[in-house]
Amino acid sequence: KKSDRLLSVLGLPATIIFKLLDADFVHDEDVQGLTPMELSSATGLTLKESAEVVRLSAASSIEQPVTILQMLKEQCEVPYIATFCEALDSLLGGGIPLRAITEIYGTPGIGKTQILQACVSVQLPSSVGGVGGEALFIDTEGSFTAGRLKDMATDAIQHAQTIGGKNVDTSDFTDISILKGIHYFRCLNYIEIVAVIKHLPSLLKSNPKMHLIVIDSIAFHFRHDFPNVKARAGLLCHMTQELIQLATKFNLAVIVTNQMTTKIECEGSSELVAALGETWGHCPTLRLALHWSGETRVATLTKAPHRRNSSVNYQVQ
Amino acid sequence: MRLTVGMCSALTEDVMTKLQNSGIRNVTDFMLKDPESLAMESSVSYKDLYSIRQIIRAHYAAFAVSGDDMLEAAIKTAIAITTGNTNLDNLLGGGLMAGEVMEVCGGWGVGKTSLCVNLAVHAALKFGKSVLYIDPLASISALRISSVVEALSEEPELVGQALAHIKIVTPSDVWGVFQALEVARQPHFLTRKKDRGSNGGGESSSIKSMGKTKLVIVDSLPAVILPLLAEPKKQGLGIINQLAVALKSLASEQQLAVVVVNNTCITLADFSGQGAESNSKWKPALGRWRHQVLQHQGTYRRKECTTTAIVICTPDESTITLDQDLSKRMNTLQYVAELVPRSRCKCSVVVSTPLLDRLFFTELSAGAAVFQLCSLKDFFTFLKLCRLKNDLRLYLRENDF
Repeated sequence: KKSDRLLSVLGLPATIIFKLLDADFVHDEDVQGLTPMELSSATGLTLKESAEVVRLSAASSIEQPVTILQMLKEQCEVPYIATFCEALDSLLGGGIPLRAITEIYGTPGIGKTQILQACVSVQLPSSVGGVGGEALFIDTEGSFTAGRLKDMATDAIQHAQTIGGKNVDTSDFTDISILKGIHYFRCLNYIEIVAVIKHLPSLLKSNPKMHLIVIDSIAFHFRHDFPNVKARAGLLCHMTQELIQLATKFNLAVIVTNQMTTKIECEGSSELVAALGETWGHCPTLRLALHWSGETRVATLTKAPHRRNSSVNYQVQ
Repeated sequence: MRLTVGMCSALTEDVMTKLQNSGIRNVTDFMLKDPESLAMESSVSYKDLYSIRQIIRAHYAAFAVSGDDMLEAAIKTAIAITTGNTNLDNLLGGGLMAGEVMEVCGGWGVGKTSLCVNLAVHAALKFGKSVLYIDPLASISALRISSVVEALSEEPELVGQALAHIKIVTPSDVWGVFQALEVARQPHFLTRKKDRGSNGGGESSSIKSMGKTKLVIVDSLPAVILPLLAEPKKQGLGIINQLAVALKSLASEQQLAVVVVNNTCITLADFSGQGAESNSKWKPALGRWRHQVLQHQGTYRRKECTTTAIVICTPDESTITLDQDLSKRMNTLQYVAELVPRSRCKCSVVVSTPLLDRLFFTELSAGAAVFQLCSLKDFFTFLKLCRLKNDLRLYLRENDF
């Protein structure tokens, strides 16, 4: 027995809902059995709009939920992407986790762009314990350098050969293959970023080996170009939702870098915090803060579902 | 139900055209107009109009229940789901009450999702209740669950059974959330098994059924609502209201507890720097939401506080929000009763919407009739009822309908 569903929860625009309510169409059953022609003459909607209403009210497929037990069985191992920095890997519990959005924020020059390393590590073949996937890099600041990437690639190949030893064949893992495995998008404004994210489902279908998406940095266009804070919060929430749903569906890791901003307290003191505000703080699954402590770089885990918040010193090679 | 030809033997094509010519387009117009004047204007016989009104009333009118009966039923069905944390239980007055909506709000990283996961696991483990977890941000993942599961001291079999009682739905927008709430209304849950190795959409190869849901957790609300508020069209506020009503009616109709996760955001007001307390700087996000529905609101880790809110909808669509003093509540009763033409009623009548707090009913005496109104239409038919019948006691007994 289908329960009485209101027409206003189907996701139709407000103008259509008003016309329907005016003509007394409130529940699903009121629309049942009517052709779009009849509906449009009764309500004053266009034929196209009426057809949409009839279609949506007839669609009764409720997605059956999955239980946690099933979820655990399907995802028994959580794969990580190693960062090749032992300190960071131990802080994160293995590396950057898949099926989650990790945010890395810090002051300029601290080494955020080291995440290029993740683009290489994700390609480590599964025969040597890696994920064996490709990466997608969305560049908003223009700080991507192919030269640095090549150096990292050479190091990674050596690393793979060391781990594999003589038994494992890693000859497929070459300079060229690593560079080929990174898909690059340069976005000049926030609309282009949204466009890439909307395009992702088809991209992922044609590249099923994709296991990492990097956005460097998400703050750049949203801080400078944006007309109002409410719209920004809404758009960031929307983007996060799309990304996390894709991440869980297609088994991806998402890394997002952020900038810092100064928050001025009432008493006149100020504090360095992550940019994009409080609302953005709720969006990523993990948050990693990089900062200086005297002469050493320190990484602090400020938000993590599976680890305690803690700090560790690390180095950049 | 619409004004269609054939819904009543008196409503023929002819009558319909005459009504439309007098400007009657839908049921509300029809019921609001006095039948005598309508009979004169539209030259439809009074008898016809009267029989049409009867049909409409039979379809729309809300049944009255006495306050006493309602209180008794409420006492019988009240269950409290303990949270697993005695301090939190004490704060909530026993635990999560069935029929109530609790909001948990806090900044990022304070542990709202962890709290919700623990609530769900505790409810499933200790009570064997089914839990529905609506998760638009996909915050439940193997990452999070494995650490929770490892910390449990029960046997793996029991844990496995408990975990099988927690269902997760990941809607991608607010319409998906509405659909997900429908799942909670089903008498038993059907779950789907994914074929191993399928990427993305799984095929349902087998269906198992479990008990009725007793706890619904929505984590988190701003994720689906903030994109709507950002649009300049102002549809967002209406949708928040609708979601609020849906959650509250779900809680009270199905007698389950609902927990909602919200964010906090900074209020713009206090920059005077005159020793403003730290908790006035933070307020729960989504503004007017809290006026619509909340039974309890737990601000996690900022300042623990509980508030109850009552909203009464008046016919002119302005809403009155009241705070919860007992004396103020009694005044509300009187205020509301005055909306109804009391000269014709022999007992005091209380108009309640699904948004009212259950505690409210303890104030009622046996002589009070309670109408559960679910829409403005109910309110209109109710007003007509009052005008036509002198002794309202007739409407207390459901057999009379």
